[in-house]
Amino acid sequence: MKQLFRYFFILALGWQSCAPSYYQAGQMAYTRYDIKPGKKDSSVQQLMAPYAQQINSTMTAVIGELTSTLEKKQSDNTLGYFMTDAFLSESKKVFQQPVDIALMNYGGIRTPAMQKGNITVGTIYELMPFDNLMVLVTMSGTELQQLLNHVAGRGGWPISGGSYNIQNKQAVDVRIADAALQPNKQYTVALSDYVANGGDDCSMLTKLKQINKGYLQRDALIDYVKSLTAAGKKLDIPAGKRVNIL
Amino acid sequence: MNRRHFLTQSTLAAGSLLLPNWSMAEDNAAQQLVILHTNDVHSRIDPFPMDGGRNQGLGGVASRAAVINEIRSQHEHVLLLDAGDIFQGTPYFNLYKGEPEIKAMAAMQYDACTMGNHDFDAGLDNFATQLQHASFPVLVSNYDFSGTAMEYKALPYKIFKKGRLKIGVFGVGIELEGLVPENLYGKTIYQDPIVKANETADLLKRKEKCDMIICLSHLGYDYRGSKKVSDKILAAETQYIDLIIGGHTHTFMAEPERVKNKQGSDVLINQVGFGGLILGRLDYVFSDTNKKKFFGSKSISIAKKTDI
Repeated sequence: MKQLFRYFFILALGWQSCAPSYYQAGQMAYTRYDIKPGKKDSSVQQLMAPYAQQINSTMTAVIGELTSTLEKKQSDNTLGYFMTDAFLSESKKVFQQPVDIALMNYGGIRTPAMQKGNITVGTIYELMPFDNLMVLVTMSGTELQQLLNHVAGRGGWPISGGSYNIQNKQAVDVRIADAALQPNKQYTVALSDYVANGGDDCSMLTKLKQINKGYLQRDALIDYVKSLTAAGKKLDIPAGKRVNIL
Repeated sequence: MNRRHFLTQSTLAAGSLLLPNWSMAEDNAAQQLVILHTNDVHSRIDPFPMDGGRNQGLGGVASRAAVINEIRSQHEHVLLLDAGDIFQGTPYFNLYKGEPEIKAMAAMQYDACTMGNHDFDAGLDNFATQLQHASFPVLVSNYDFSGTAMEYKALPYKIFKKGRLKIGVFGVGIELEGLVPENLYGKTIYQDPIVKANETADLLKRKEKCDMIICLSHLGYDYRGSKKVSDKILAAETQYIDLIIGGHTHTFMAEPERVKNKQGSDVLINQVGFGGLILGRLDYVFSDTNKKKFFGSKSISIAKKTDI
């Protein structure tokens, strides 16, 4: 009987090796599923529930208070002043080096206004949904003037650490830390990686060296508001136009 | 005729009648394969928020899991694949650094994924750490991870046996320099994806005799007029790849595109946008072939597509 099974087995194996062992796909049919609201898998939903609850409470968490409503405007962009102030302050901490000014591209400001009162994490996400990173670029006064001329030609971007006026689409009266721009001096500018990599037609920046620590600009905004709150302060943008259109 | 001899003969006779039938039944079952895929899900755990945007209420892992479960209940041989950029894009990632994303994929029983540039966003060490929640391999053939946390965690390829089919799946990743900050990718070395894809596909076809070869790519669909390597270029300059499941460019393709490879064979390229808005499904039917045709050039017929 034992031998019989052996025969059977060898035969079965022999047959297997004669069976086709090469296959080829000859036909394909495609189906595209839109993932619509409706049937949900309850086990996956349960698995995600603790994270979702935490996310909801995080987004509604109040991290600070704003004294007066900030607006996105081309000439006196108070919302942009807040953002660039945060970038300048936080980049000095994160990169641990002197930073002269911060600039924010106008199109990257994603809400028209930030209402006075409580600031939540969700407020900051609306303002800055992109995952743009903070980078530092060091350039000569001549190169900075060139960048600001480009910015002036686009209607002006908010600045922190300095001021400029716009005349005939050129940046004039540029002042950095209350001193006139010096062509041969080196300045360190905090920018988004988007702009530093040539976004918004800033191709003049791509040849310059960048320092990048993988720090999100959104995190800079959150950290800045939190640091004010920790120091017992409210977010308050001092009066004074930093960009004037002449 | 002694008893033993009789028994042997009759058993063999019965066996010879029955065996092919059993095997044929098995062959038929094995000739179909359902491939499901996503790309650039970008931490979209919940559906898109109800903010008046065009995608509001769409997507979300719980809804996707329900669609996948239904397909699995109807088909035995399913491969569920992702082409990278699992991470970044919602507060889930900022808070949890990828843990819920990987856990959700494990729960949906993903078979494999490749790595996108944003999967480096909280650092390579973090990606490696989050893989403790994965039940599926990360496939990348053109990143040399020697001396990094990913060294023994990523595989160049994996072979899946589905019935009688051998399916080889491998991955290719995008150039990191200029795209990902250096402090995030560390010692990872990017290698030419065309060279590595040809090397890997050759091994899967000629040595491993895979019946189908799938490339999970995070190179991007097409950069018209540019020499930058894309899925279109990858398809044209390689051989033995049957299907490229792409990502990175967030391209919403109406249906898979057919491209000729360097051997003159058909390669299909597909990509399903981003954010888990769409699940792509390719139903393949296989037939048996001989060795010569197996290595020769081949074409595939594409049936009418369905939108659900």
